[in-house]
Amino acid sequence: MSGSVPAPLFERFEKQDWFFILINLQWTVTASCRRVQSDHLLNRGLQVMVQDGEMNMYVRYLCVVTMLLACAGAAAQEIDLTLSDNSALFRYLKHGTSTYGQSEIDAGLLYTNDSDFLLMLGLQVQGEAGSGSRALPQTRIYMIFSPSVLAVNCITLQHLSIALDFASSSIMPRILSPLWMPNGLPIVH
Amino acid sequence: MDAERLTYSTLSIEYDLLQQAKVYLGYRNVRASINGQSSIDLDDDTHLGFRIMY
Repeated sequence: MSGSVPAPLFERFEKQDWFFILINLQWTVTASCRRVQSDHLLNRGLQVMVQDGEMNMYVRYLCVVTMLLACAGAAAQEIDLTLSDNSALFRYLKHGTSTYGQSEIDAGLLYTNDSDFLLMLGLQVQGEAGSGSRALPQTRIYMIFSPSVLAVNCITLQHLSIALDFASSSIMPRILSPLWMPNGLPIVH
Repeated sequence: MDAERLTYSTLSIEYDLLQQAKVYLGYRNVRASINGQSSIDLDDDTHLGFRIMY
């Protein structure tokens, strides 16, 4: 009689199966691609303001903005720091509620070994909670400060020609786990 | 100088250290097209990242 009783589920997992399950559940794959067209009106305005000798003033302005964002960390929702051999990126995201609905503010500063700066500022306001509709147009500014190519540029107010975002949580358990587990997935009767 | 377009692409794989902290390894390409010149890569490299949510 005891032979007809299936073993408890947990006993069917081998130790290596648990290892792969625990590892896999914590992985996320993300990808994004954004192509932004220049806003020529903004660029014309900036070029009038910026002369060759005024570059340092704008670099100082960038540093002040970065420090202010860092000081506001207590109210932040998300802080992101990435480092590589040639660059460093600091990003800050804050989620909140405004009079128009749910709002999201993000700011990022990319700095490279060539002393190039890429400043990203974004504001997105969603309408009624859960609706997903935009109460206000999404606004995003990209500014490039590039001494290496003598360029000082302001690109766009969210003038995207391509925007692709992909994020998949726990993609590995669904796709790769059966392949990785030495004993395969246990069958539950 | 006038920038005409900017392409910002990333691909990363994240690992949840904690519920509110992630570490990730990724690749990022930031390419800008400057008027009168060929495109320049502001950044084209793999990177190590750390993200905190609170």
